[in-house]
Amino acid sequence: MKPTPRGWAVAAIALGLYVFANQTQVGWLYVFSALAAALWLCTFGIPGRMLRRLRLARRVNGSALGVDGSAEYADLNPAVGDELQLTLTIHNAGRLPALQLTGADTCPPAPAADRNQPFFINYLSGGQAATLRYTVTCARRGWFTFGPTPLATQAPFGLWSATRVAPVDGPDGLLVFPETRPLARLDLFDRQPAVETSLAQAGTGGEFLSVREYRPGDPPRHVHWRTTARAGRLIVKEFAEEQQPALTLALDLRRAACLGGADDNTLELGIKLAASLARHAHERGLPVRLLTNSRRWPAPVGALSQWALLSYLARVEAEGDDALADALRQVSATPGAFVAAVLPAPDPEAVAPLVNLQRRGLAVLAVLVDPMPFTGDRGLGIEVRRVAGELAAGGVAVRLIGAAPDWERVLVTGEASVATEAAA
Amino acid sequence: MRRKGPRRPPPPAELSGRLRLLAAAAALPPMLALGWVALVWGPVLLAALGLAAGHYYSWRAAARPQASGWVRLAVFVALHLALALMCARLFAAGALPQAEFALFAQAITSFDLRTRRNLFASLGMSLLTLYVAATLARDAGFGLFGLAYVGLVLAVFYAAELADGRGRARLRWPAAPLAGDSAAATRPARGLTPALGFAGALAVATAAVFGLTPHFAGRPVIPPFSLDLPIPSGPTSRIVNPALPLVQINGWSNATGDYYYGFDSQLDLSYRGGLSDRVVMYVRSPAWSYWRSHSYDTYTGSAWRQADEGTLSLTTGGQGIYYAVPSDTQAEGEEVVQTFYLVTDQPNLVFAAYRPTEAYLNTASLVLDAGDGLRVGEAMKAGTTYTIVSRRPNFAEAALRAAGDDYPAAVRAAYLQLPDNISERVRTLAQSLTANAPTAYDKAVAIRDYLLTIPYELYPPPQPPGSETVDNFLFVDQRGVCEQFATAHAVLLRSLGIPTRLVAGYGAGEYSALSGYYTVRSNDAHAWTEVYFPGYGWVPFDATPGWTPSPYTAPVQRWLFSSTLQGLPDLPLGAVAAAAQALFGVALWPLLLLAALVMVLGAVWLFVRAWRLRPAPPAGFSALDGDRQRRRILAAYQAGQQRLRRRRAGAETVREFARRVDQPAWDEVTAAAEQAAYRPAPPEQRLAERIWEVVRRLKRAG
Repeated sequence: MKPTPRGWAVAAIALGLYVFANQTQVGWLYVFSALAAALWLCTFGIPGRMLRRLRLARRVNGSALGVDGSAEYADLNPAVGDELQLTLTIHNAGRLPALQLTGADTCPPAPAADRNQPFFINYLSGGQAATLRYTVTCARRGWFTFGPTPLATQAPFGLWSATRVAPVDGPDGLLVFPETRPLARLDLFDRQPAVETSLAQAGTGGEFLSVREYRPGDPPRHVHWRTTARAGRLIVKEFAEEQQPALTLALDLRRAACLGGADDNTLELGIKLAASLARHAHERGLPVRLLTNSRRWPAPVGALSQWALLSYLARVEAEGDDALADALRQVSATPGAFVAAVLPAPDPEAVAPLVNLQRRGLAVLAVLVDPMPFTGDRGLGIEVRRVAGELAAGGVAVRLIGAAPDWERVLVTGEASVATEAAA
Repeated sequence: MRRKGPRRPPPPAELSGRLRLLAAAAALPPMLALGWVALVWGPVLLAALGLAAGHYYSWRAAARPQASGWVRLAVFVALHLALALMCARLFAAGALPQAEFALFAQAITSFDLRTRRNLFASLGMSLLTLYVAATLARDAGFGLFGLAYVGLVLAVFYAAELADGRGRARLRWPAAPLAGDSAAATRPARGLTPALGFAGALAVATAAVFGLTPHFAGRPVIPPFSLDLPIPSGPTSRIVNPALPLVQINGWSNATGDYYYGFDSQLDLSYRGGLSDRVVMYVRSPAWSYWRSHSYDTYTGSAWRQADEGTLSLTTGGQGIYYAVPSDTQAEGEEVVQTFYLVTDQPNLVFAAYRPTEAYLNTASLVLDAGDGLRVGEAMKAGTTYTIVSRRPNFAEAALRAAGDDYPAAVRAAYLQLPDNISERVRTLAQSLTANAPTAYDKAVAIRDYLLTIPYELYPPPQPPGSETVDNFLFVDQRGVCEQFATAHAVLLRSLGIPTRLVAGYGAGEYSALSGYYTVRSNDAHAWTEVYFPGYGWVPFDATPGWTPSPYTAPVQRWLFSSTLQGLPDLPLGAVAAAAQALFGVALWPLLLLAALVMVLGAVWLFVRAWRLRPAPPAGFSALDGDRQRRRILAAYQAGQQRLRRRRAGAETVREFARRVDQPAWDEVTAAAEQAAYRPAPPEQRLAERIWEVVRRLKRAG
């Protein structure tokens, strides 16, 4: 706590009046000097005491839980573009009122203009709680931590000022998913039936594979009675393992794949595209596997739930220089499977493995992001079109997505938007 | 010259109407105070109207992108016109031209109050106006204006904080008043108690600082910005003293008119008549004293006069306003700086506490007469101000008793004179009163004490023509006024061969600790005696009943509580005091003390009531003290183990321990402990209370 310039002025006035009072022996000047000094002294400590008894709590969308993207709290994860309602409660746990409280609540996922929310509370009685509500739109994906809130006051007359960085009870952080948009229909999944195929191994499928002797634990309904009667011992039916075709979603996370500004770049669009593709696949009942070339953010193994995938996509950032082509070559050529490769930047090395996968019977879709609207570099625009041409020549379905706002329509229809064509 | 860096943007205009209104209101109490103390209501009214117009214009002009250059030019010109007017009124002997300039300046500058800094500067100008009014205030009523000003300035500060906070905030609370919100109706009342508490604390702190701050009687300082201008001589000449440390314009006069004695050239003891209570002058002094003007050496039997008309011209000490007053006696003791403000025209006598050593007054000549009185060359007009520095002598009884009777020849010749018509019974009385008094001091005290037993009467019977005053006073009338008491004292002592003279001047007057003034009225005019003691000079005695028997200048009072009686404020409550006396039969002060006690008790009751009625924390508002609830539940878990007389093993989980205990109540405690330990959300206060109740009812596990 420290005196403000106004406080110093009052102290100087008190001293000056005292000097003049001694010079003139005017009793009233002694009184006014004493009053100014008493005012300066009486207001000392008031601001600090007011701030000390304040307790803060924050709620995000009404919840005090730390939303970390786990399945249990799935419905609390916002996505980019979603509205967040934040509630900041300031409780005066002291007996004396708190006056003229100023502070600023910071909401990291909000746009820069809305990130800082300064507030002002004129009067808060002892035991009273003030609730401040505001709504922001999530502008960025990622994990955001909520920090303490700075408080300040110069009550009651602006002679002394006190500040305090108050801890806030509430969510430690917030995971914002990338934006996903519904896709009307994607012909990638229409090119071959997404049917289950039986494998030549025992499993839990419905197709009869063979018979064997009973083992403890086999369900009684699997007993093959005819063979059992003939053999004189319990014989059970054995069924084949079924495998469902999956979508392998490949995403190029090289550092060179992030072209454009800090928040508006090809990688962000690529992540939106990947999330939307995954969403569409899940809606079609297809498992989704993720394939990336990031060492810092290795893709989870196996089929991922939508939330697990969004949780991953919410956190990833561009890093490293490993080519996606190396990862693509590791994709098993399971007939009937699907591959969607999202390339935020032109990657000529990815052409060959994608074409190869296409020739091996997989349905391959290459989604290329046109860097030119993000960078203004016509050279990159030409290069991405060349890569698209090579892929198309190899039989791979290609989508070239620019900075158009209706990119989900372009993803589905393959028709470039007017803006993209004009840029090209 | 190359500019360093980008030009700073101009400060924003102040757009808060509330703030401007409060600032304008804060300027009014000092103006009204000045009008009240200086009786300059015409300029005050004019300035107030100008102030209101100026603030209104400034408020409307603040919304414009830039300040008007024409308005600023007009303000500049108007200020200089007001300054010229002030100078003109100085020469024309106006009442308080400088105070009027302060009023007009504030009104003129109110037209250019664009930013908040300008508004605060106007508050500073108001403070200067209040300062001027404070130097002229004479009683406690001025405090109401000061309190009003301070209260409004604090309101301005509060409004400024409010405006700043609201202006910067995107979120406010409360956002908007809710319809039918009964809580809003109670909110102002809840804020009243803390405000009253703060006001009370402020009052106590102010009184403590005021009472515990020493008051140093500063010497007059001649400010470097003091100007000497010729003021036409004659009846309208004024002598202004720079004791008031503001910009001083000193008028000087070359008048060297005939000196004359005054109050009068002689003191006629046969005069009968009372004096009015008209204020003659105000004296600012850190010490109580009589204000001595002159003395008489020759008694004629019915009058006193100064036979020795010799004077000693005093020289200036620089800038024409400093005179060193010589003294051939021991001038010891501390300095007493007194400033005299003449309210009515006075003769050419300079009043001072005994013994003056320096005089600060702007005059062409200052002389010391044979009776140790100071005189200037012309009559002093109302409004004259001057300062005297005196040395307070220390007259110890033992020292005066040991002074002896080796009087200088000049003193014997001048101050043992008696007329031939002093009666024998007067001389015999003197002998009989001092029969047991071994020293001159004892004789002076004995005679004085005898005279103090004679009743004082403002209108004694007329003195018969041809009679001797002292004989008539002591043996015929046996009552009288101060001149008769003093004359009797002087004559009786002279008859014993002790040099004595009669002194005239004023009594101290009424003192106000708040204003610092002694208010001296016409009926404070007084006469007393001075007795000569070798080595100590003239020592004052007062033989008049109801006055101060040994009127030595009191010690300088640096502290408020130095003198309880003089420290009490002199409230203009004469009618109220009379009413209190009539209604309650007691004096006013006990009632005031009782009222103060009631107020203190009332404040204590309010505080206790507010303490008891403070709102309890909302139940279940657990999110704000989640840590505390967690600790409570975990403490309950520990306490429960003690009640069960069983303890969880180190490698045992709480659920394994619960299965071992096998009590439903303990399962409940276990679930709460798990929640407190592992769940991100803090537990509810109700849960913690519930678990403690469960723990208290636990039975020892089998």
